[in-house]
Amino acid sequence: MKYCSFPRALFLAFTFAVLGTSGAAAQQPSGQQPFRIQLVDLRPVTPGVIHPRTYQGSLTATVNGAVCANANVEDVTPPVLVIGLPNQPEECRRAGATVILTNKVGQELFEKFVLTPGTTAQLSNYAPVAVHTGPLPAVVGNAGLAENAMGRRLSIAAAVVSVAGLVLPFAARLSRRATKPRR
Amino acid sequence: MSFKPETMLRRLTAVVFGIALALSAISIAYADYTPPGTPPAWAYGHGSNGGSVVDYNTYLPTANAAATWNSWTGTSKLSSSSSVSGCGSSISCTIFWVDGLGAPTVNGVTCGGYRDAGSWATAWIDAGPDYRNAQCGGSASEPNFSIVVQQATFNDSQQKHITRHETGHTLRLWEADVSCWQDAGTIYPLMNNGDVYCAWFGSNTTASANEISAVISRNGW
Repeated sequence: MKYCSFPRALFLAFTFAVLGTSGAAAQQPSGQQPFRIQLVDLRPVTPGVIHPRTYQGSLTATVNGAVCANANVEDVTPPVLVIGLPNQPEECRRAGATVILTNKVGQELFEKFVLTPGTTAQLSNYAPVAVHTGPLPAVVGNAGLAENAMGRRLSIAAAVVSVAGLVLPFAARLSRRATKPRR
Repeated sequence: MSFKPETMLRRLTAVVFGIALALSAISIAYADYTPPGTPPAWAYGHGSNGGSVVDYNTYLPTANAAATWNSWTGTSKLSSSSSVSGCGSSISCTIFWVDGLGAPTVNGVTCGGYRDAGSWATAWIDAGPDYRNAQCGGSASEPNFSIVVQQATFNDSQQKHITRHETGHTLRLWEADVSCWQDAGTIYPLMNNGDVYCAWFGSNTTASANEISAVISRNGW
């Protein structure tokens, strides 16, 4: 009993509890292992030459609209996207769901993945989805509109000034009539 | 020196109209939209050597699209052809073909890609195994573009819109989901794909100044 005093027992119990908890967090159940997407280069990255991976800027992995992982893909060494970590949204652990990758400007990549916990998939094709013309629901983001806003403001200003130009002479004529001495 | 009210008013009116005219001119200059930046669209276009616009048994004015883009850009980078010979190996090609009438075979590969349901035309790229969403015998140095067009009766303007718009994609322009008159003033972007209200859609057959500038710079012309 000498070495098992109440405070010591309490300390040991606390230590085991903490270690046990952290150990459980670090090692997830088999069904909750993350899904990894390893980016692969089919040819070397050469400065000054367009490389389809580095051209993307960054890649964001989403599952059912939830953002799971993001990586800068401009580095020489291709990164790994890890999907299904404990700190990610619940959707990121949904086995069988579709993982969609989008690049820096929101273009969706053509290649998609089925979320399979505990496995690693490879991405070597960096082409975005096809584009089209014709009446379809919106699928891509807006173009830059900064100049358009300026154009609208100037259009409104031009309209106001034009109306003023039309109204002014009439106003002046009315004013003249009002001030003209009556006989 | 006398100040007649009528003379003053005439001068004032002239000044006001002058300002209005100037503002209108500036407004039109600013109304152009900015095509999406970096990365602008596909990593690959026809490139600095240009390419060929191939008509594979379609009813569309594909040669007109090549000639018109040459005219807009002040170059002769695009040629037109009815043959896929050399596509993907010695020249980059934009190949128009009609949905349901058979896909072309390029370098022993039948061009893939399908037409998005409801769309008039869908454009696919093959720039080699690390950048393609459909196979069409292309390569990184000479990418090929597979354009699948709806088998339908389009009027003259619509045909021009389809061929020029899709060729715009192969010249590294992305979709311009801007409303023709609300957001872009008096500009009706060629790259508007009809996703948003555009009373001129289908008749917007002219590239805007900014679209032309983007094509020149992005393709190194």
